[in-house]
Amino acid sequence: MRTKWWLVGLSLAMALGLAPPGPQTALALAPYPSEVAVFDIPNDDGTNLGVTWQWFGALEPETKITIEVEVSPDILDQFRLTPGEQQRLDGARSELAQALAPLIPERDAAQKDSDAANDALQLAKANKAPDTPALLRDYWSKQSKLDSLNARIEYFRMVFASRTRARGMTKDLDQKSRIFEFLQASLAQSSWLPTDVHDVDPATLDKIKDHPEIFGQKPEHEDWSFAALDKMVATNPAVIAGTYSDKPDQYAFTAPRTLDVELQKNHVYNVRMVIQQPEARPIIAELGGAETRVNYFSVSKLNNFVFAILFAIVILAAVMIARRNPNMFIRRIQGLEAVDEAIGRATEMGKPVLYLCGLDPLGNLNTLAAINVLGRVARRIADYDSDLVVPCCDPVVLTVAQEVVKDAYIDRGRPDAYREDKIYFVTADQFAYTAATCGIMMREKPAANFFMGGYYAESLLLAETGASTGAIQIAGTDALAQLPFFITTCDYTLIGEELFAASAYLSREPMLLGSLKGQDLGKALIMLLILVQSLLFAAEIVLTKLGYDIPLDFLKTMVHAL
Amino acid sequence: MLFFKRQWPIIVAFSVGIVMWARYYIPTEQSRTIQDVFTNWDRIIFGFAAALAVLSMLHHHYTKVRRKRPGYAFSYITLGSFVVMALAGFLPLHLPGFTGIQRESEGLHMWMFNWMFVPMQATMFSVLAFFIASAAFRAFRARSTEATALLVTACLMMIGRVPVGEWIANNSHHFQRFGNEYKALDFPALASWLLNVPNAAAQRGILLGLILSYVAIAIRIIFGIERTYMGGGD
Repeated sequence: MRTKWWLVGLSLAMALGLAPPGPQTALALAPYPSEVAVFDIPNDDGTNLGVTWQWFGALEPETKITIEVEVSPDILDQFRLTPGEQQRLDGARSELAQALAPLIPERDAAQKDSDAANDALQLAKANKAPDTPALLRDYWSKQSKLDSLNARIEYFRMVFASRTRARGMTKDLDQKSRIFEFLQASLAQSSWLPTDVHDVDPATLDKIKDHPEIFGQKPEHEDWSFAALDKMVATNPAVIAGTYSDKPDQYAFTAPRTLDVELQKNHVYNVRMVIQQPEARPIIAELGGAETRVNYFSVSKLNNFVFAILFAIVILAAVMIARRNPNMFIRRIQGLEAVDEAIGRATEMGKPVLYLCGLDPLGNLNTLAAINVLGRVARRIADYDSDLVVPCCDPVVLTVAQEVVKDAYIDRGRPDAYREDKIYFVTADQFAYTAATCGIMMREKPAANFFMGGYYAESLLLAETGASTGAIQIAGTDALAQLPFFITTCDYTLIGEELFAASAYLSREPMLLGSLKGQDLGKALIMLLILVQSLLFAAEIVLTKLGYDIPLDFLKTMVHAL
Repeated sequence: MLFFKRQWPIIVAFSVGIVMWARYYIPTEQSRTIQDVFTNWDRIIFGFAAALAVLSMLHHHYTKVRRKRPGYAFSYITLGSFVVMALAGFLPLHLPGFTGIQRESEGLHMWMFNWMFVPMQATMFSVLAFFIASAAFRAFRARSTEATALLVTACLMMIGRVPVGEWIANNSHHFQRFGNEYKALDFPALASWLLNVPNAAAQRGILLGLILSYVAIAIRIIFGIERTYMGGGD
């Protein structure tokens, strides 16, 4: 009770302006962070601290907060240049200044000329003056001169940067020295430096629930505020001295007002919060301290890691079993059974087979799957002596598709039948590619169309055009939104995972079929877990309604973690 | 040479695959640097591949024109457009009527992009509406039980998604059951149920299979079990 009266008295004194001037120690009655935790973020590279808290007391509108870290002067040692480095930097700066000395005045004059020419041009354009083309040419020549001078200055700056950057360094010596100067000046003012959470509205800050990668999917106190700190802000000494100018210096460099400096690894920082309410003195809350530790494993991805290892073991085991017992049963996939029929029909009709690999780049697994199927289809086409046309929309996919088809023809002893100009680049633009491919379908009337890989809005345009030409169409994609269009317009559609199984299915290679079996085992395991989890939830509801209180949370958490 | 054609790509795929997989779990700065290096290599490879792709495109259309294959007139247009766009982009052209230079918005290059290319793209995209109508007409013929189910579901979904569905629901018989009020012909609620229950269940099933397939194909590629994408295959 005594403490409470003391706090009320002090807050009244604050309200009346009787409290001592300057920042105050925080009061529990004011809007104040409570339940504060300052901690090292467990899945980062050692340059982040996390702070969580809840608000004790209501916040005034337009309240701003700044989170500051206490920095000890020994941090300067990390940015202090050695005599050798200083000498190297001075030499490079002197050379740069010498090289830029005649260029900078010339560039400034060219900038003025260009601006004046542009003003005259804009005026002439507005007045529709007859001399507009002449003014345009004048502006263009002045702008070209300015561009050329800027390019030369930039060249000298690049030479400077390459001379001052040592191998393996993330910052060049120039930047390092600036950080040193900024930090030194800032620390001379105060040992508390603002962080990147600087003058922000507390309402815009994240909550604990916004970061499942740190706090998990079902965190406690999910509505508490969270801020990640990874930078401290150092101020330009010229700004502190009041002599700052934003004009470029003799090195053609405009010094910034402040510099963001990463929090140093394996360093203990004390953290505090400055709460600035409108028309009130700032309130300072000490939040505590924590060390920024380098983490070599992202703990939040542990379940992913365990699953990946288990799944890899299952697949590799299935592959080993398949090597011993090659006669494995794989369910029939109608779309892939129809590949021979489609190619046979094309051969009989003397028409080509059109194969599209989708719009995604080669880095996407659906495109890799499409390329794998292309290799198998090309082998069959080489056997049947039919024609294959592959228009591509990605340069890398084109290069790989050409190699894959060429090797398929060589593999089947038909290198003479391979024609590189049938596998060609059309364009990288979605609808231009669609228009071109639809044109090919209408002109060449392929007897079979294969649409494998990733597709977007163009899927229906392609498949509907193909359907109108009477071709047999086989599609395979992992794009869920496009599946209905393919199912509607194609004769056969490989849905999702069937696309990825296609290569193994067509090759009938025991090792590839074994990996499919392993994949099915993994799927069975996940289905089992989903079933068990559903039963646990249902059992909990039923038992609770019947009046039994059996705690199933532990089991549910275990299954969820799995 | 056979080593570089067969074994070397597998060694590279295995090493890079393992490094990139491990990198995903390691949050250090070095791990980020590795990611940046590979991203840069990807860009460099793309640059060279783009040059090859342009050559491939020019070669294809040139051959088509030279041999006068069906539709070779379109190849003239393609080659002509390529040359004009490239010249307008690279050369400091100034033509009467265009008050900008090079790639400025009032220059020839951007003028052609904004007023020719973009409208043509939009035209292709808008054709989609007509294609949806023709595809729906073909798909919604009740030839079998499944097709009939599709037809009925599609009709319910369409009614549930248009204002008239809302109007029918509001003017239909309202009744109380289990303490809640229900509408006899609540098409919007039915459409939402179709989307959120059977449709979501099917989509999640496909998604589950897909994700396992992603992992499986990645393992097949990393361990060199799947080699078709390198050419040569078996």
